[in-house]
Amino acid sequence: MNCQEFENVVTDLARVSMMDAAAREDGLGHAAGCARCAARLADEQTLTDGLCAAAAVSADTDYAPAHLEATLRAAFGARVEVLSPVAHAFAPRGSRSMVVGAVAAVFAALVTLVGWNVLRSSQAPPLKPVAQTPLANGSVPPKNAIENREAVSLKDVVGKNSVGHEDGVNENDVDALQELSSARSNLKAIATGRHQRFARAGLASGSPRGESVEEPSAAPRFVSTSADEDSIATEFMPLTQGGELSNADGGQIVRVEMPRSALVSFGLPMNMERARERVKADVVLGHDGVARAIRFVH
Amino acid sequence: MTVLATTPSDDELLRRIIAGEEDAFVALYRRRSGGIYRFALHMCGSEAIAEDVTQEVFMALMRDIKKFDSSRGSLAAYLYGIARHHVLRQLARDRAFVPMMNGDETETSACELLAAPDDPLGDLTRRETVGRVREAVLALPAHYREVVVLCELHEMSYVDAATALGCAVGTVRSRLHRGRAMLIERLRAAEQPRTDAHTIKTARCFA
Repeated sequence: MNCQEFENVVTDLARVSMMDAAAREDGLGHAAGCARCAARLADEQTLTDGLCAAAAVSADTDYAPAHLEATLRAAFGARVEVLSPVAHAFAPRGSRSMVVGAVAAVFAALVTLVGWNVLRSSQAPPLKPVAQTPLANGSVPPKNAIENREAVSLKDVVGKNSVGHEDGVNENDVDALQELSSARSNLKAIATGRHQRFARAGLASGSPRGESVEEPSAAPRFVSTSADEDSIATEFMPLTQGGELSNADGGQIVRVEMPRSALVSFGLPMNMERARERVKADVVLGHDGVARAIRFVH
Repeated sequence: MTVLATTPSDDELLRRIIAGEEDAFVALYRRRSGGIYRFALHMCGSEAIAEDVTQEVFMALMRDIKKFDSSRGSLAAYLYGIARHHVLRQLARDRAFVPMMNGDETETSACELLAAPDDPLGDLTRRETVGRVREAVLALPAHYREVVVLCELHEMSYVDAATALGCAVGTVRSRLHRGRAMLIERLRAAEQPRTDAHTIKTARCFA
């Protein structure tokens, strides 16, 4: 064995660790004949003695503080208490598959419910833009809600009033719900006939809100009125200078008869052979007596 | 008839811990906490850090006890691995800080170093030896220090040390060899100033 080979085994020689017996003999023999390697081995043995002494002293004196054990015991007890109720809750029910099945059933029910709502909302006809007559108290009549009450759903109203959040719910949703509630109140009033005059224009109880006024459609269409299911009426057409329905302070609706030729002036088709006949119309009059809007009733 | 009391193995204690037996946890803690605490103490030199590391190790065991795989190594190696992780993180955190030495402590340390050669026995006392070795170990680079601490101060086998450190057995052997060589150099260097100081002291006496 040369000095290089001795260097490879000197640590094991000094630590008295398990090693090949032949290598040990060769190493000790080399150290006996080489002063430098003998000194190297002596240094290693001194270090080993020092390390063993340090380990022994540390083992005698260095211990984890007692309060640490108490802390960990408390933590262990708390952890067991937290975990136990869960285990006991599922234990009597038997296998884990039952738990998974229950969770799957709940999930399937949720999916079915959501899918049914989506299907229902997709099958509902879109809300038709219709003109809204200014109310006496300045609110918008929920006429569309009356005339298309079957088509009006919560989602429609919410989606209509939500900007950029068709499926979301924001502060406008509250307004939409109130508007829908107002529409239902109107329907009830119409059914009882107490406010028949205003109900035709959706003014029965007056919506407390409804700041937006939609433009009337260019081609007025006939829709069935709520008061008289047999009669149909056009949308209200503005008669004001600006051509818009403004939020009047008040007013009333007056049923009038006028020559059928008046339909022409509003762009409605007219049978010339029946020009002498008269047609019915609802005129919205303001407090100043000026006609605000008109609709034709057939 | 003699009944031999058998000490439960680590695996048996683990099974009981998983079942929620607090006594098993306490038994395992008392069996392993000393080594973990001393490992952290030898690595950091701070009792406070050693206490924190010990607590973290057993909290981690409590939390992730099912992560231990006995086929990959012993429980001791697993715990030492967790402790090593926390120690290295603590060392990295404290690397930016320089400890403020107390003047009295420095003076005392110097007196001890100077007093040693004047010992009539002419040899290092056991306490001095242990103190010097500890200082030298703490001065080692971390990757040499952890091997020396595990294999020398904790008498861990190369295999278990390799498992705890996450490296090969050959790496443990080479690091231990290099770490011991560095310790010898440092202890020898620490011996040299004492000789010089003794000379200076003697000169002053003659002056």
